Amino acid sequence: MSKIELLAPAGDLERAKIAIRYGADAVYIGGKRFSLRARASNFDVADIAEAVIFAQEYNAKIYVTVNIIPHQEDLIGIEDYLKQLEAIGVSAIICSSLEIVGIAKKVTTKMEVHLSTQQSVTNSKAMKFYQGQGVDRIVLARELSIEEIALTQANSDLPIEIFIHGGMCANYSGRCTMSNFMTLRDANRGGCAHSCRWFYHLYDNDNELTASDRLFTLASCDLLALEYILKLIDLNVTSLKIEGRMKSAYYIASVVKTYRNLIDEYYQNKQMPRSRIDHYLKEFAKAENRLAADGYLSGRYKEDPISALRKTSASQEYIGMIIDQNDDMILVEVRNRFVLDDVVEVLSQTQTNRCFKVTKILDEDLNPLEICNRPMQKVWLSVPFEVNVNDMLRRGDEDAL
Amino acid sequence: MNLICTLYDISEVIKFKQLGIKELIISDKRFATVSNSVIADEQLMELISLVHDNDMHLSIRCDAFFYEEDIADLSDYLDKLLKFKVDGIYFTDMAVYQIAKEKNMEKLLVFDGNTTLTNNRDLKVFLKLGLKRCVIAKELTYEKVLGILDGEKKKSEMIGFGHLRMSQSRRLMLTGYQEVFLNSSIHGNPNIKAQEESRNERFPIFEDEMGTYTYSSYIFWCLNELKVLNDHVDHLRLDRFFISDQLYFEVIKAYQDVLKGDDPNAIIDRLKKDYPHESFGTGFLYEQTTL
Repeated sequence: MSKIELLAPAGDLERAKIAIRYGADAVYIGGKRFSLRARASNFDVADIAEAVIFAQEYNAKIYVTVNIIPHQEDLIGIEDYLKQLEAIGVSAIICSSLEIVGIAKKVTTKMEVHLSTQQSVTNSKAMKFYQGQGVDRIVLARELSIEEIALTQANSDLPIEIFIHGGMCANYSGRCTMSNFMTLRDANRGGCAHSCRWFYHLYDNDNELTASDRLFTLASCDLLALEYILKLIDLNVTSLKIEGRMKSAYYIASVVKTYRNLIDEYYQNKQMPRSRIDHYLKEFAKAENRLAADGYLSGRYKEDPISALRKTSASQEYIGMIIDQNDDMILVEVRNRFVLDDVVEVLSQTQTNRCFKVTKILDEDLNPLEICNRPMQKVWLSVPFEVNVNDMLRRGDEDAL
Repeated sequence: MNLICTLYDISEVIKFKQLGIKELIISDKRFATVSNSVIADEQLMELISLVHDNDMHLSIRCDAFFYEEDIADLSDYLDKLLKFKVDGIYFTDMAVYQIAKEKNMEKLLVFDGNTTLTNNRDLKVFLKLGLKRCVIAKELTYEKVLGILDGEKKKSEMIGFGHLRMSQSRRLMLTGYQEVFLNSSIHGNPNIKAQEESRNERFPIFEDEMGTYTYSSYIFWCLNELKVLNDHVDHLRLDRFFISDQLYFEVIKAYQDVLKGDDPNAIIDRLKKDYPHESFGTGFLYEQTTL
């Protein structure tokens, strides 16, 4: 049985490299054309080529989203683009349009074609149809419970990919045009305005049902599938997918690292006690900035535990990134405020995370500081153990010292 | 042009015939979204006989997303529809196609992906599957509508009237809200509307056993474009969700009158005057979306 794939998102080259360094087996990225999340897609073909070369050094793969639901003019140049992607070593494309599936199968030979969750595949019969069209892998709809995934998997021999973490569409992906209607931004071509996350008054005829302090929202909580990862591994699904091409580098690093550790620990020990699950839950909490739930996996969607009635504020856990070091100190690019005597945790790319107390801060001219509160400010810190450039720092726990 | 209308009750068949309608759609809530009725076998047989006796066609919506445990029932249902000689089956989930193909009945299928057919090339890919026809997406400009229909007049369908579906979720969103904040159920209530806190329009939001759906705040129509569309599309569907019976039947007559040569502007003015509380619009025909 091959080891399950951990598939991470990246909105730019920096984040792609971070995802790979922190343990992703594959990274999915979007090009400047043909991809949803247009505002998150900063990769031109040269960037994609660099990502592929970087990934190969780590024995990782690059997948490229070509997942718009195209209008006529969107298809111009698609054949050449797909040929370019194959030529630079992209392992797979993720697409929705059957026309694009067909073109990919016609003009490329080595690159796999994965069917996007935009097609909302919910059963093995639909999988069989897409298999007949040449699709190599299906990203199942996020609407399935763990039991439904198991049944579907059992009746198909096509590899499946499951979303395990990150933002959830309130509606069947690819079938929602709320953004089109409410803002003229095309949801299925990369312009989704997330109208589902807004707040609404409800009326029964002309009688208002909602009060001003408890308006209705269609939005879902983010997905956190931690409780189901072991079952998904046991089911032998092919890939576990993290959502979030627009998420920060810190988010990518912390989420990828946590899943990496969890997956590796389970493969090594063949079991996982509750205390370790709880440990990983705490790790995820350090990266989350929105309410999270287990989505449809529990099968309790009819009770709607997924609904997000209020968002939480952005995480302030991320303190900064190590960008250089000398024998005694590390140079940190600051992201969020911290002060002398704060406890800081190193989110290591290669080792177990460790905490230290900030005992000395120097600015770039080596003047002592007590407070770091300017984002992108560069400061020197003392660290009492070995770290690596590109490791991240976040708030730590006094008990972990 | 063939106008396709929604039938709610067997007693309406003759009324539709008198309006010149040749194709009707029904739905069964076990297999279709936004449907309130379950149709017993004997009712379905009686209905199909009546429709066929009046030289009309009957299609049935089978447009839900299906899950693994639904597949056996879905297969049996398709067997039944074939046996009863239904004339068309609308579907969204490709499982319906796969099962129908295994039964050699794919020629009865009408693909309605809601959002997915947005270009002529994808339309041709679907039609090569041997389907009866395909419904094009609704979020297209007039120019794009004419482009996508190019060369596929007989095998394509367009939504020509009704509240347009904006979204479909598996979650029971209204029940979820009601259980926390309300005393009485709003599940299945067709009169529920939502209004974004900074906007004035209210749009229908409906929940059935399969999930929650939102629809456009306005009623889409294309009376002004009908004469041109008549040259490009053979099948125009007039949807009925959240529309009063009175308005629906008036609109059918209005569409027929325009197709016969009446001035659409006069008809539009009259309908707007007669239904001052309804909001009508042309959807995306003259609205280009952006990213």
